[in-house]
Amino acid sequence: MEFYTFMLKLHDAAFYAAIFFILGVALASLAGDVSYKWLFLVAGTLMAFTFIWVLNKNVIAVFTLFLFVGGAYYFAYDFWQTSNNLIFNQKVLVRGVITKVSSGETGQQIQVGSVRAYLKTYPNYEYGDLVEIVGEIKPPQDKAKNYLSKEGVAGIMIFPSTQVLAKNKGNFIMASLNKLKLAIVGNLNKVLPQEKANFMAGLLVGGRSSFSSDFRDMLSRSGTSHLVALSGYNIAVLASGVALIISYFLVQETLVFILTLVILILFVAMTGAEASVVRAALVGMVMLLSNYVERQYSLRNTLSIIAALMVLQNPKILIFDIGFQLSFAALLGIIYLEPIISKHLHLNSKSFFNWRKNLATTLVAQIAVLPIVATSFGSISFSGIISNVFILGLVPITMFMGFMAAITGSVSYYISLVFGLVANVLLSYMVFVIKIFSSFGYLNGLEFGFWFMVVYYVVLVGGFLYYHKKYEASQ
Amino acid sequence: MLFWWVDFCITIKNMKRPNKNLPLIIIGLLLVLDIFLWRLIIFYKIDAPKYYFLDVGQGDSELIIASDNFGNPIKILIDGGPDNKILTQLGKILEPGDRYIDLVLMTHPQLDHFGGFIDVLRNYKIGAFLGTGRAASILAYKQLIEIIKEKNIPYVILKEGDKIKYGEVIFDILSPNKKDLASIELNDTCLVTLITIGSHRALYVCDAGFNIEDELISKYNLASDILKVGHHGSRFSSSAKFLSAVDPRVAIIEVGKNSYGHPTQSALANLSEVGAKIYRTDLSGNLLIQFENKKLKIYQEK
Repeated sequence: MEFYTFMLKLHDAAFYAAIFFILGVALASLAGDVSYKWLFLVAGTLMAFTFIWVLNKNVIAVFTLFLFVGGAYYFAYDFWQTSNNLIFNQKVLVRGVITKVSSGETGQQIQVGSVRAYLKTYPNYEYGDLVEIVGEIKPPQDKAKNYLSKEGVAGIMIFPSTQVLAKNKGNFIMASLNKLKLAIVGNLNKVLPQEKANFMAGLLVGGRSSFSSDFRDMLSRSGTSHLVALSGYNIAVLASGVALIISYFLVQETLVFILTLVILILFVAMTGAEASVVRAALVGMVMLLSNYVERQYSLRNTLSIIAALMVLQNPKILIFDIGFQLSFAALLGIIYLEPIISKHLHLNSKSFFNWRKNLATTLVAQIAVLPIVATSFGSISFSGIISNVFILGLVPITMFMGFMAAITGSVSYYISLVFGLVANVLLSYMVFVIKIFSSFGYLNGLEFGFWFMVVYYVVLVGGFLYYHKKYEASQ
Repeated sequence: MLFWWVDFCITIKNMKRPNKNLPLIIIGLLLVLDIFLWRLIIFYKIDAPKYYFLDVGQGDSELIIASDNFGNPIKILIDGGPDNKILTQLGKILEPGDRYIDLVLMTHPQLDHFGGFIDVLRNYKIGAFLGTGRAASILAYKQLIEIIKEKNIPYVILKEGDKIKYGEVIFDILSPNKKDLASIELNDTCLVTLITIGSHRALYVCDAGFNIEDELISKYNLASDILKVGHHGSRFSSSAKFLSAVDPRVAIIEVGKNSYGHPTQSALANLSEVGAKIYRTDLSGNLLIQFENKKLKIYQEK
């Protein structure tokens, strides 16, 4: 008996290692500028170890070591990131290749090394431009600091004078993918009115920087921002489309799978490898792979390992990237709560445009993310539960029309226009729904503290565990 | 999301079978297209000329849509605002699929007047680009010229005395002359346009200052129904003398959030002095003016 409790299967070992690693990173992130932060970390690890040892007396306690590893990793990452050689508050010259461009309605941002420059809308800069920027570098302030450090930005420049020295100095693959993305957005812009073209681009390749602030506001009020954030949902729709097309040409499933995978990877790179996209794609790939090799695996392990890998890649996303928290919370909600909600509200049956399933999904997603949204944005959208039911069912066909308009646009304007017109009708409907639901069912200016979040999740998880116990007992 | 993936795998397997709904979907698509086309045909009529004043923030942009006697429309875009906000506004006004603008006129090469053209030129087909020929040193201007060349758009240089006619529509260029064009003050090099359609006149005073206004008074009959107020209502334009010569029924100020204090009290006071109804794009959003049965009608977006 004793022997078996000490024998952990490999995937369980990986699970606990991942969980404690993530906990360690969280602890270290929250420690922030606390003095004696190493002591803090050691104390935390010891506490966790003692707690588990006393409670369970099993080998899991050993894995609390990973808590310390996670924390140390975070500190090391932070140290490495902040030890830059930037000279602040002095006129300096920065020369380098642009690694990221995001353009909005009234300006654009470019990233060169660890410096981000805020520029006017024109002239437009492109990925891979070798530029010379002259101006003062300022350290990021207060609120923006954590977000920017997550983005790898150590200094910002506001309206510096900028000059392009040479073009196409970036990574060839990234440059080509960037061109492809620009072509997609450009083609959409040619056949759709600006606002809808932006919306469609958001659905297909993500990003809402080009939205007007009014529209962005409407999206968050109606609880539909996730549509343009390239969630796993959009990627799933896209991947199934791709796989479907490939399977018409290729019979062998292995090849279909590999090609879909390759296209997905390229797609993720194209969208700028945002955390949410990488996450969604990773989950999908593991899912596909396990289906393909027909081996058992556990959702719990897969998810924790994916989360740990993403945190390993950039430990700052755990606490400072709200998108990361939102999508994991939503994902967990959909996995664990949706079956319960569907069962009790009878939302399992087939329905017109899947509205029952969509209702269940949005409901649990909203429940799962509520405290994060409430504490970080100070707002709650109740109308989002209904607005999504009216919209989600039409997303796949809309994306398909947009996709076709985008690719045929490079061949013939008129073919593209036909798809564009149909997409226009669908988008008009969506915008109409978004407008209606943005006008009510929205609470703003709420002030919730960190403890609200803690209490909420303790209650939620407790309720879930209680339900399971009861349910299993009644079986 | 995970469940969608499971769905996805199942769907692929299912979809390999022929889809019964496919013909229905195709018929649906064609129907949408049909309705769109018939709508254009059935509701087609010759509209009264439309004078749009676009809300592009702090900057100028105006669109005029008129028809010749046979109902063939002409679209003229004067200035493009500072950034791509203009695309949003054009998207609201023009039919989806309508991506042609006959004439694009840049009054002078300042960013708040031409910036948006960069994206307009990328996304619309343009008949001809009109300007003064004066260049600017800012980088955005270089990008604009590059796009004009790349797209092979003819650049036509206009000056005082030039005239464009299309059916009943007449464009008179009142300024700049050779001397003004060489001015150190870039604002004074701008194209002042008088648009006459039938008996209605509209005066578009770019960013011209007092000295240009004085020149215009001495040379031309400026009386107009509509006035695009000069220089966003700054204190260097819209003298009382000039406004009484124009004597507009409506005056439009193209203005957005700014640190210059536009529109200024002096300009506003002078405008109300001559009895003009004042509209501002920052307060009204996009503005549309039309003459319907000789009545002047104004449509505000907000």
